[in-house]
Amino acid sequence: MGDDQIENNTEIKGAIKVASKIVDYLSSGLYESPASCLKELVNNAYDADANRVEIFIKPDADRIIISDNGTGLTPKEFVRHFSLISESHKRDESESTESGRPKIGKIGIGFIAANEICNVMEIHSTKQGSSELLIVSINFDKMRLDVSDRIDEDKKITKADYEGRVEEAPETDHYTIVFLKGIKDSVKEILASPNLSSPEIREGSLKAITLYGKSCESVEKVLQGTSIRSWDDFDLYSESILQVALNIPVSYHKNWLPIPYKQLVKKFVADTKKLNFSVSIDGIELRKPIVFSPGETPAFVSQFSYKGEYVSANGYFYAQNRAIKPQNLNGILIRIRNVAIGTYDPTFLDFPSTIGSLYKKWISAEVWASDGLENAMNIDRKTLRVAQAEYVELQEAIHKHLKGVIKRVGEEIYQKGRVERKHVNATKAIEDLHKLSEIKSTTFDRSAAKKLITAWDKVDSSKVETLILKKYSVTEVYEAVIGVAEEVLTPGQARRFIEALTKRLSE
Amino acid sequence: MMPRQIDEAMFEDRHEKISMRKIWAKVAERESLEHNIPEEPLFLTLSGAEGRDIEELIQQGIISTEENLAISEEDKDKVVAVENSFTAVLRLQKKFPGLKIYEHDYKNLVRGPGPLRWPDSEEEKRYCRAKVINLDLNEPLKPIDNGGNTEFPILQIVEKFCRLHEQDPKIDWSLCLTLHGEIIWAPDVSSSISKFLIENFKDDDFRNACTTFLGDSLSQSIYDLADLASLSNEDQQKILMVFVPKKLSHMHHNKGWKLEVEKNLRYGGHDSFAPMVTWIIKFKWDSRASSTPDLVYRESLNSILDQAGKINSSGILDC
Repeated sequence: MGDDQIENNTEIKGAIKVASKIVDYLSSGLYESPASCLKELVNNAYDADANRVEIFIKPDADRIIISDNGTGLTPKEFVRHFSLISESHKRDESESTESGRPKIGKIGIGFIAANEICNVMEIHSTKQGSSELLIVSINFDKMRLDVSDRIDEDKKITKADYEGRVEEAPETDHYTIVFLKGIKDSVKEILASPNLSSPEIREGSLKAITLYGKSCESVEKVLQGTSIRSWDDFDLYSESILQVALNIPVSYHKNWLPIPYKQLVKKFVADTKKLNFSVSIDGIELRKPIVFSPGETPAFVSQFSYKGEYVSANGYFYAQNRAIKPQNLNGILIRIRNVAIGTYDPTFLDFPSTIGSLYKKWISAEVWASDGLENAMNIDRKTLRVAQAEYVELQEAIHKHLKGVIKRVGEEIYQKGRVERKHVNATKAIEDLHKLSEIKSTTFDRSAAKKLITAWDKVDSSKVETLILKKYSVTEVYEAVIGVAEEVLTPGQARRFIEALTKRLSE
Repeated sequence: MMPRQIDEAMFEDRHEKISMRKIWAKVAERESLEHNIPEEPLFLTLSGAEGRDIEELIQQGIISTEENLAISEEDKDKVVAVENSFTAVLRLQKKFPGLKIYEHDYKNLVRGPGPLRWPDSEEEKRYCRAKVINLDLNEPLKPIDNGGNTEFPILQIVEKFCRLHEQDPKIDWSLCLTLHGEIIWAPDVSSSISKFLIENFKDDDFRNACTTFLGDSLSQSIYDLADLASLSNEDQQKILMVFVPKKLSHMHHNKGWKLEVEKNLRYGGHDSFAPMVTWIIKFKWDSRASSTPDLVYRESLNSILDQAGKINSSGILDC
C-alpha cells in the first residue's frame, strides 16, 4: 500500500483550513473599474469621519489626489491597520464612527483597491492633537509578483511594501491626503477624457457629453435631459464620476424628483443630508446621479417598508409612464450603511420575467437595508449571495411590493395614459379637421390619383379613379369625417368632436 | 507640514508683487500671439501654493476656465505649475482644478544645472520649452565653486532652458526671473564678479550706461574690488541688476540667442520686505549670431539698462 493510501475501515477526521493564498486571491482583482477603486477610497474617508473629500484627476490622470478632512492616522495606527489585511480593527471598538456614522468598511481591504489603478500610493496623514505627520509610500510592485515569491515563513503573503517617515505638523491639523502615482495606462485612458477639440469628437465618432467643469446645477440639468439614453452617452471620465456618485453617501440633487412626489421620499433625502458628507472631483460637486424627469406624463412614488426576521429595509419605488432614462437608473439599488451594493439591478433581484416586463422598465427603486444583509454581501461589495437567508427574505418582500407597484402602474399610469393619449389624438384630429374645413374644395391631379389607385388595388379601380378625381364639397367632406369619427372615437368623444366640427363649419 | 516662507510671502500679496504679476500677464499675453505649438505650454511657473500669477492669467482672459472654475479643457496644456510641496500641490489643485502641476523641484525639471543630465521624458521636454518661464524664486544668486571657476546654478539652469528651446522647431521665449536682492558672495567671489564687470567696462557704451545707472560712488566700489556683500541693500540690488543680465548675455551670445532685457527692476528692502530684483528677458533666436556674434552681443548689452528701474511700495513703476 502506498503512502498516499488510507487503509480500509479507517476513521478520518480533521479541520479544513484556509490558506493565506485564499485571502491573497480574494483581495486581488476585486475592483472592475477605476470608479470602483475611487469609491473605496472615498468610503475610507467617510469612515474616518471626514465631511469633505476632494479628488483631483485632471488634466491627464497621471496622478490622482484624494484629500479628506477626516480624523487622520498616526504612524502607529497606520502600522496597526495595514500590517495584516483581513485582521482589520475597523469595527473592533464600535460599529459607528465618533460622529455616529455606521462604518462602511469591515475587513480593511479598501486601501488595496488603489493597486488596481496605480503602482504607488503615498499617504500623508495627521491626527488632531498629534504633532506627527505620517508620510508613507506604499509600493504595489510586490503584488505583481507570483505568490510563491511573496510568501514568508509564517505563510503570510506580502501585498505591498511600504516605507515612510514622520514629520512635524501643527496639532490642530487633521487630514489624510492620498496621492496615487504611476497610474496605469488603461486607467489614464478612462479617466483622462478625450480632447474636445479632436476631430473624432466633432465628427461624432467619440462620445461628447462631459461633466468636466460643470457646476452642480448644470450637472443636474444634463441628467434631466431626456436625450440621454444611458451613461454610455458620457465620456468615460464623466461616466466614472457618475458611478462613484451613485455608490457613496452624498446628497441628492435639488430637483431630482418632481415636487408632487418629494414628500414621500423626504425621509431618505433628510437622512442622507444628515450624514453631512460632500465629495468633489475636479471641482464637480457630487450628488447622487438619480434624477427623474417624467415631463407631463403621470408618475407615482410608492413607499417600501419591511421588517422581517433577518433583515429590515425601507425605500421607495418610483414609476413613470415611459422607460426610465438613463437606463442605468432602471431597476433596484440596494444600499447597506448608505453605500450602494453594486449598481441598479434591472431584474429587481430576479423578479419573474413574465410579470410586467414592460412596466418594469418604467420603475426605479432604492432600498436601504439593515445591517443583517451584510451577511449576504460578497467581499467585492457589489454582489449579494442569493442563497443567504437574509437575501431570500428581502427578495421576497421586494418582489411582493413590486407586484403591487406593477399593478398600480397598469391601473394608474398605463390606463390613465391611454385615455390621455386618446384625448390628445382626438384633439389633434379636431385641429386637423378645422384646417381641412378651411379649404372649401380640393382636387387631385391625375398622376397623384393614378398612384393612389395603384396602391389601392383591392377595389374597383375605375370607381376609385372617379371618386378621387371628383371635386368634393365641404358638406361631403363633413359627412365622410363624421363617419370616420363615429368609427374610431368613443361615443362621448365622437359627440364632442361632431359638435365642435359642426360649430366650426357653421361659423 | 509647516507652512513655507515662500507661501506666506505670496499670501501677503504686496503692491510690488501685484504690479509684477500684471507685467508677467502682459508678457504671457504677448507671447500667446506667437504660441503656435499648442502641445507646448505657454506659461511655466513656480507659482507657489497660492498660484497668484495663474489667477492673474485667468483674470486677464489668457487662460480660460469652466463654470466651476476648473481650467478649461482647451487650455489645459497652456499653463504648467512647478511645485514639490504636497500641501502646495493640493492647495493649487483645489484652487485650479484641472491645472497641470509638475510635482518636483524646478531644478529637477532640467535635471540640475550640470550639462550632463537632461530631461528624458517627452512631457518634461515640452514643459521646458514653454513660451514664458516664470522663475519667481525666493533665494539669492548663489555661487558655487567649480574647479576654481565661479558658477551660478540658477543661470546655468536658464542656459539649459535655452538649449531646449533651440531644438527644432526653435522657439523664441521670455524669461521672468526674480531673485533676492541680497548679495551673499564671499569676498573672493565678490572680487571676481567686480573683475568681470571691469573687464566689460572696456566697452564704452556699456561702461557709460552702468556709470549712469550705478552712480560714481558705486562704480568706484567696483573698481576698488570692494566687498559687494557689505554694500547697502539698494546698491546690492543695483549690482545684481547689472551683473545678472550681463552674465546671461555673455553666456548666450555665441550660441545663437539675442537677449532683449525688457524689464530690469528692483523692489522691496523696506518694512521687513526682502529686497528683490526681477527681470523680463526675451530670448530671440538670431541667425546672425553664428557669423557675427559680437554684433548680436553688443545689441544685447545695449538693452540691459534701458528699462532699469524700481517698483515703489505703492506698486508704481519708476524706470
